[in-house]
Amino acid sequence: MKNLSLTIISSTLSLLLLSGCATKVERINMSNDNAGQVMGLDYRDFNEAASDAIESMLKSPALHKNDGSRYVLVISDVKNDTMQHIDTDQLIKKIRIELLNSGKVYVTTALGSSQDKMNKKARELRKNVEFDSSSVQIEGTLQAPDMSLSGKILQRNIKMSDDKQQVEYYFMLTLTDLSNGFAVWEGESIIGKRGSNKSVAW
Amino acid sequence: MKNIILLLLLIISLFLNACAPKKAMLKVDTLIASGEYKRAAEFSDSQIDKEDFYDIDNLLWYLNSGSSYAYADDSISSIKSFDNSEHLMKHFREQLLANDISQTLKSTLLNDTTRPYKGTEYDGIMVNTYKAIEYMSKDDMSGARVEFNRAIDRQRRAKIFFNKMIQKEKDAIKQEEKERAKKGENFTISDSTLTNTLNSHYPNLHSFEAYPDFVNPMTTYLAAIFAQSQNDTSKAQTLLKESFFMMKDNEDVKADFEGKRDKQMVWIIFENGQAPILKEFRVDFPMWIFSNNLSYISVALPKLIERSSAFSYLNISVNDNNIKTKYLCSMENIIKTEFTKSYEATVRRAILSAATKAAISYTANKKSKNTDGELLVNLVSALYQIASTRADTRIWSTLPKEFQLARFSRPSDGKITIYTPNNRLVKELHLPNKNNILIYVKIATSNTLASVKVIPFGNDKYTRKIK
Repeated sequence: MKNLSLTIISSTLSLLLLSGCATKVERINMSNDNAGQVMGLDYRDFNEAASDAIESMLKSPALHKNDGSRYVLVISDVKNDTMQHIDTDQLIKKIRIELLNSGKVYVTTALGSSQDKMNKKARELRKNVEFDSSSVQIEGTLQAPDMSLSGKILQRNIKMSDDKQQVEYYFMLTLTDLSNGFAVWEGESIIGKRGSNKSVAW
Repeated sequence: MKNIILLLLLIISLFLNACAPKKAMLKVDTLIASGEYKRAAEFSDSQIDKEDFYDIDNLLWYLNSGSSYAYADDSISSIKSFDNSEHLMKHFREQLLANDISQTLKSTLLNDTTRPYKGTEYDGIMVNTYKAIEYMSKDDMSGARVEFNRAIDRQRRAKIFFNKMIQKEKDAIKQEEKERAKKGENFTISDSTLTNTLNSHYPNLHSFEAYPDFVNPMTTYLAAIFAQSQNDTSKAQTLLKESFFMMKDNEDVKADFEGKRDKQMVWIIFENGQAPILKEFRVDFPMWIFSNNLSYISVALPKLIERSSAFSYLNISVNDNNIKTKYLCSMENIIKTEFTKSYEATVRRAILSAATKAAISYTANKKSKNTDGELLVNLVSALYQIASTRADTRIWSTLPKEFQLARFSRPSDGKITIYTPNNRLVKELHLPNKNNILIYVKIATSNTLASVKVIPFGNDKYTRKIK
């Protein structure tokens, strides 16, 4: 019995000690995050690059139609040419949202890298008797794109000194007019970081 | 007496500890050599200390597990193990460079086998190369591009890290020699004594053809053909140029460099034979530790032992034609290049460690002179020196001896057959109708089952002008 009491007391003490040592979880203030930088890419970098691209794109005449109608934009490939395993949607999603909100484009999900497979699946219902045929999409309703957005995120690592390295990230985007293949807008924003050269930058 | 018993127990545990990892490493090597890739992967996994992620041998086991899963065609498990390997390498390197001289010295004075296996530069490059191949085989070209970028960046930064690490160890050794000199003990050994003694015991240390420092030509070449398949033209050109200058004798590399290709191309990379292993040997160095007394200290050092290739080439039957794989580059020489560059620091560290133990024994023996325990103290101190003097023979031994290459146009029916030179069937394949196909073959010994992976890769819309 004495042994059991000792075990219970020591276990309780251990639990109390452990919970006292646990790292406190903090919620990030996404609009004002002053925490230290990382050598890789974090959400602040994607936000900055996306904001730069949107601002420049909307200022340019590339997406302006005199009759006020909208272009149909397809998202083409955005290549990740860095040393980080990132999802390029982190960059593109924000651009898509802002472009849609601007009222200047429609973004198609029938083609490109951000396809919604339901565009195709919904049309496969035409011969399915279980569905009310009048509610099924008719042929020839999908709109072909006028513009395509493609790009690349590139990384360059440069040795500054034995202890420091510089990592540069280039966010390069191109808007192509699909009627003639001309690049009507191009944007590049660079995010640079300097940090320890003790190990690799990923 | 109590202290003597404790020391004896310590000696026994030193003997036991030294044998356990060696046996296990030999086992995984044997499993790969006999083509039992899945068992090798599972065995390597079982050796990982899951309770202590930073255990001194974990990196080596993650490397073995990653490559074994790759040969066993389990890309997901392979990438997972290699991710852990990368994490450990980063941790140990940062720790090593962050240490001040006294901490570096502490680890210098210990026997090398008690230090964590921190990985070599070529280990890191091969980790990212294997990962790139595994991402390619998962049809994740974006992931493969990231890994090739990492491999190439490792090659760029290897020289910087390596020089810094060696310098740090040299500084620590010099400092300890100075400290000892203040106490009247001479631990310094001249460059000429070191070179002469090593030359007589290890004469072929420098006898091999070295590549540019820390560059694996196979990695550069594979990254080049991958970049080419992705229409990353300028990157592909730069890497092909580097590959061609390192492997001028290989006609297939030359053809890629010159841009000669058909629409549908096949590359076979053949991992041939077994990489060298490390074995311990002992050398006696003359030292005047105490000015009036010349002593010979016995130092345990690692020596690279070359192993054989599985075959001199592979035969590939394509449309009734026979194509042979040709020598691309030597993993053995890549390993030797790095091993040789760090050898002086390894030897000086071992000498310092042995001299320290010799000085301690000398003092203990002197104190016990003409006492009842003299014989026992002499015996225990001699045993302690023998048991604690060990060379670090840990090495990623399941890598190949060399890489070979065959490059040809995909036959219209997609059928090819791979044979050994003595006409034993390796694999009959029906290749997918794709523009770029990598076939990755691993054969460690001549009587083993091959691991063969067929990996279509790149942008299939690729239509390069045919020359």
